[in-house]
Amino acid sequence: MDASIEDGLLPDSLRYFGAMAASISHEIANTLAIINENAGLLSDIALASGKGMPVDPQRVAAVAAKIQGQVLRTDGIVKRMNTFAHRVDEPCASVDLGETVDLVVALSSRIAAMRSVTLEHEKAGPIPLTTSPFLLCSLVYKCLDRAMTAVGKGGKVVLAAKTGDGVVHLVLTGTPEQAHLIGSPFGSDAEKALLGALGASVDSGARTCEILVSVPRDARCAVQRS
Amino acid sequence: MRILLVDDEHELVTALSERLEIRGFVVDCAETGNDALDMASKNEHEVAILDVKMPGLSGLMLMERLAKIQPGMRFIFLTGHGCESDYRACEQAGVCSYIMKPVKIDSLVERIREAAAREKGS
Repeated sequence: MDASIEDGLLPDSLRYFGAMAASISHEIANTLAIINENAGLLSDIALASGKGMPVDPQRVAAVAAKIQGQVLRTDGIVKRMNTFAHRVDEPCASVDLGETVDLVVALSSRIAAMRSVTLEHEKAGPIPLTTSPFLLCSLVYKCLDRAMTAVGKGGKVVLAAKTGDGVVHLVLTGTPEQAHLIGSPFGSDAEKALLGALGASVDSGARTCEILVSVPRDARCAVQRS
Repeated sequence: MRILLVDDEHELVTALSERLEIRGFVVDCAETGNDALDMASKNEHEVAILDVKMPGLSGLMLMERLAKIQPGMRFIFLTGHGCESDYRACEQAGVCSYIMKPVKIDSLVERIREAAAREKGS
């Protein structure tokens, strides 16, 4: 199929969902591999014990603890994946911006690590708003992706959620400060549609190292399902 | 046989290297591409087992750099991704094996021996 035809058929939101699913499955493959090798190590120790080699109980306990640690890590990944997947359930719901940023940052942590970018979320108190939960995640990630590209390898992106007058703000600040690309406009049709659906605006031109996203606290949720 | 194992997951590297050592291999471990290059400059390795996706130097980029230091080194890629484009890139680069995580240790040992045998031309 012609790439341009596929581009037209695949919405941005589906690409975002796909990128997250790929990253999550990679993380799970890694934890499964660690569990597999440590379980195999226990098996090797048991085999050696059967041949008369002394077994150190502390060594066995340490390997078992590593397996438990990876099971907990996997549980966290699966819970995040579940939370993310359920973000498409409702086209309009009450969500917390801070929790959304937390989720997007956690889901993007491996992608950020691959790009050698550090992410930091400056947490505030509860910031509730009524909007499309999935599209809000999508917008936060789009801004984050842009910021990570702008700061480049070794850079840092700080995300801070704030309340304003009837709106909520998300500020992404990138360092190094010469990362001027962070301020490029959200001009594609898909980006405009996303902003329109959320009733959001992005101010990325005034300050060269910041993206300021504003979303109405009680948006009308332009996207409704029957 | 001396092998180089590179993966950014610390606990994978420690457990897998121990299992390979139990099976008679001498294993040098690295969690970054730069550490791997440093080790390759100090010791000869018949086979390198590399993660495909790593922060900094990717597996494929690392392979190119390692091959310049040790032209006889053979490569096995261990990945959690299974991405078609990565597979094709490895195939084009002449990588001996492309294995998905998690891997069975006997299968990995077999691939290591196959790779080493290829290097010797047998």
